[in-house]
Amino acid sequence: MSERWNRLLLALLLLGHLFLLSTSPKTRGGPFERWILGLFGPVAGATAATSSGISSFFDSVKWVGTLRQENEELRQKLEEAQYEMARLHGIEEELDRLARLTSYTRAAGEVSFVADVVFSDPRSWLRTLVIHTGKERAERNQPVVTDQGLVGRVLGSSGGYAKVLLLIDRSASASAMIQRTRRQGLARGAGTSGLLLDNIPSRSDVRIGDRVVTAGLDGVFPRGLPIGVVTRVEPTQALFHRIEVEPAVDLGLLDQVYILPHEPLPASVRGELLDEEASADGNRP
Amino acid sequence: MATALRFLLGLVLAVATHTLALHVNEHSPQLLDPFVVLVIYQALRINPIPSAMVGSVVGLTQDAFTGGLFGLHGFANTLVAYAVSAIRQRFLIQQPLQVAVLAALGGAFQLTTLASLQFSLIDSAEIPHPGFAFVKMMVTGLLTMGVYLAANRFFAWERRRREKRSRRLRLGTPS
Repeated sequence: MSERWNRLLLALLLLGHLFLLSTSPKTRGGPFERWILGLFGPVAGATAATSSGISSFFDSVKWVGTLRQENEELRQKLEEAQYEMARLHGIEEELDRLARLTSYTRAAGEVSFVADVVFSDPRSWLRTLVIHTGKERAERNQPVVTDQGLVGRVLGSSGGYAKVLLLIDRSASASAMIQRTRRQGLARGAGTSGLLLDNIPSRSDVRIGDRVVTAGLDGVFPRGLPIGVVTRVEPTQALFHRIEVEPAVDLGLLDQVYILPHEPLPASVRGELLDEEASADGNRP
Repeated sequence: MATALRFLLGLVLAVATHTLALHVNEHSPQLLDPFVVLVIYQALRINPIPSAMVGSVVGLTQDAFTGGLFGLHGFANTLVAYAVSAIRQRFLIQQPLQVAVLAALGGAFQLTTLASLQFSLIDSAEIPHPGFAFVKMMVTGLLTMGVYLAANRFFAWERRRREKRSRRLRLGTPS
């Protein structure tokens, strides 16, 4: 084949390509192109599938390492979470304990019901009140208060009426403390219109004007109820001060009182305490 | 027949390599062109006109698997195949280094032809990055040299095997 024929054939081939280029649709997918794709498409498809399989295999191998690391991290996080949970559990228990205390205090603030004072005789020997409780039923030892402070406790009830023993009665007493110093003692009725605060050691810091509140140690009155204000402190040679307290509540102005809920000590605890007292009495000469 | 089958196998391998390279990295066609390697290799083996035909077929196949106008690679590869074959005939290129240089120049010629065609046919044609074009030239040269050497070894091994076989047949013939 001569050089001229070669060149002619080459020119024809190139012209054919130029023709293809000029007739090539803007969008791909001419018949000749589709035919080539149909012929070699399976090769490309098989190669792509194989390549995908290989790359997924390597990916999975790589993921194993990643998963291991992730597992370690999650383990560590789990340990931290468990530690945190234990810590929070401790806090929760503490909160429960505080909540119990709070609810105890709150119960002191909560009023079971309101009662009207229907009979009062502060001049009688037994300083009592009679209150009308209506449909509610008062129970023995329920604290009776006003918005000013402690009045006394319920002695007993009958129908819609209840008898209240005032704190100023000689037979009445309540565990008390000086609010400023938290020194605890026993507030008891002086028989007059006042109160006495006993069992406060002579060395204790007590000042006139100190507020006295319930200490919450007698199993009847909740802690923090205002009892009165110290009006006189007599230094004595004895071990204890003689302290006079003016009641926070003006008993001559009572017309309505609030009855607080009373939570008695559990029977088992009360029984143990009574047993101890009995044995202590038995051991006395 | 054997030559046609080998060419077909080469084309299948080129398609597979192109697909695999694309799967690995979508920018791989900027650095590797297995079709032009096949075209240049064939041009080193056969005469210019059959080379041009091979270039046409390979180029059109490449056009089918790449974007752009259909016939673009066909035109460029036809020219490259004819030119390489003609140079190989004229300068008797047989040494591996010569093959590598010729293949690299063939690759550069293909890039130039493609860029020229694109500029004349498409408004928004892009000039290939010189760095990528240089790397592509080098890769084309080295790959073609590698294929050429491997094919030479294969043909030598096949020739030896054929000779052994024919010698055995002659020895086994009753005199």
